[in-house]
Amino acid sequence: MYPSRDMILLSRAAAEIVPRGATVTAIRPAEAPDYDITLYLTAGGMMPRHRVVPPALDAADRPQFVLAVREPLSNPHYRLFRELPEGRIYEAIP
Amino acid sequence: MNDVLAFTAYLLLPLIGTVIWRLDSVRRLDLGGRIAVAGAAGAAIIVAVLAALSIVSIEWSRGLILSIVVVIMAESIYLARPLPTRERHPIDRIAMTALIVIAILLIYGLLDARLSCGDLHFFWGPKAVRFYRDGGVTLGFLADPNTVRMNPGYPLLLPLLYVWSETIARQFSWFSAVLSTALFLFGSVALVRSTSRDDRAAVLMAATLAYAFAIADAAGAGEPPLIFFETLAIVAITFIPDRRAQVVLAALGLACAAMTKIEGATFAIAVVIALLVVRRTFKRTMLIAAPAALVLGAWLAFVRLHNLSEYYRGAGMPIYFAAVTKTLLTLAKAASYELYGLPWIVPIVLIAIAPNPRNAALPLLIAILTFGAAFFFYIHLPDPTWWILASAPRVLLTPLTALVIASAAAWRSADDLS
Repeated sequence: MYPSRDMILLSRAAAEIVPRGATVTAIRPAEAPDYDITLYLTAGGMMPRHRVVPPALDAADRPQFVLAVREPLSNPHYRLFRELPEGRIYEAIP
Repeated sequence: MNDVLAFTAYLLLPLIGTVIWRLDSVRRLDLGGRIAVAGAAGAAIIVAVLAALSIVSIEWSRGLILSIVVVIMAESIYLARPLPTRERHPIDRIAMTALIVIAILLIYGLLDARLSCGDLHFFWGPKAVRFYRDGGVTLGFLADPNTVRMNPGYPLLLPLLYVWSETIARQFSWFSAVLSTALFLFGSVALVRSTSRDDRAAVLMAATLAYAFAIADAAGAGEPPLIFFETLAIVAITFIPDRRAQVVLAALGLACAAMTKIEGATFAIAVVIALLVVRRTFKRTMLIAAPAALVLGAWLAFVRLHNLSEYYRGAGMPIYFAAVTKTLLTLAKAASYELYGLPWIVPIVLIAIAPNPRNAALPLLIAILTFGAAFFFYIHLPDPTWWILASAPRVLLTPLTALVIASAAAWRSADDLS
């Protein structure tokens, strides 16, 4: 099954959980650092009330939330926010 | 309910474009053809309304858009009176059965999402969602560096049609976007049947496109409307004898194709060349091409003015002659459609054994030119293998469609052609 399928389900669920207006990106952690751009593009269509941006997790203006399909995300800037059947949602550590 | 409302928006397009029935040649088509032509006109009107509101910085709202559309629809129906509703060309029973079977298989494939194109989720759908949320096509969104991967320089017809559907349903419906593929496909079939008056050609068109759409995973992407508008342009210049109707319908098809996908511009150029070579009618060709040139020129001027990301200058990139053999072999593999190239072989054989193969010249030349254009663009990468395998089954739908229409033309007498 393509990770896009998981991302469709995860981002639809996340749209109801993540605060509206927050910056969000979407990745498959195992692909770091060359993340598949189609995952965040897919999330962009499913989360119209959020600002979905490219996965620049280590940039100064990193996204407030990360949707991760398949593997868990291991990044010092983020902590687990919610675990769902389709994947995990991480939030940036202030 | 949301999906039903969103799909209903597509069904309303023919009512909005009924005004085009004022053309006598359209009035003489059978019901399916008239609905398809009106659908194309309705799509153009809706896109023009949404684009015009954005151009004059009026924010879209459901009430405003519906008010404008209702007025246009009423005026359109009024101008088209008396509405011809009689079926002028009863369909052959075997052909009808075949078309129903193909439709059931196609709709099953669409509804279980197995034919969906990734591009629907990557940019066609998300762009429509953002336009709708923003209340218009905004430069802020198109010029945002974060949206550069969503092809901001792509023409806007399809996302705006999706916005229309979203306006009716208040929410984007992914399933209605996917299911609209069936409307565009059978709209193309209706155009071929209605103008060629050949039921067998309609069945061949339906079978070829439904199978090729399935192999190409084209549902929800730009190709279904692109093929629909291209079919309108090709059948108009091939089968419709009345000069005025021919110019209006071909111009409508070309302009909409050019505003649907980049490949639509290539198609428009191919049609112009084919008309000049086969018909040698300069003035009529220019009239047919002018609306496409104007709308595409205006869009490209906007794109260039704001330095948006676009791919129209691909032809200016270096050519890799070393890649020619590999490109040809990979393109042949993609063109086989996992069926030994049968979708191509059938119309070619039909042309070869037809009583009037010369009648196929115009659409056949369009098929050759658009196939050649695809090859030309692919050799601009040193190793285009992935690009060809990912896109060629969809890109080659244009020459395949033109070839099928050519096979229908070859079986008509010269008196039946334009």
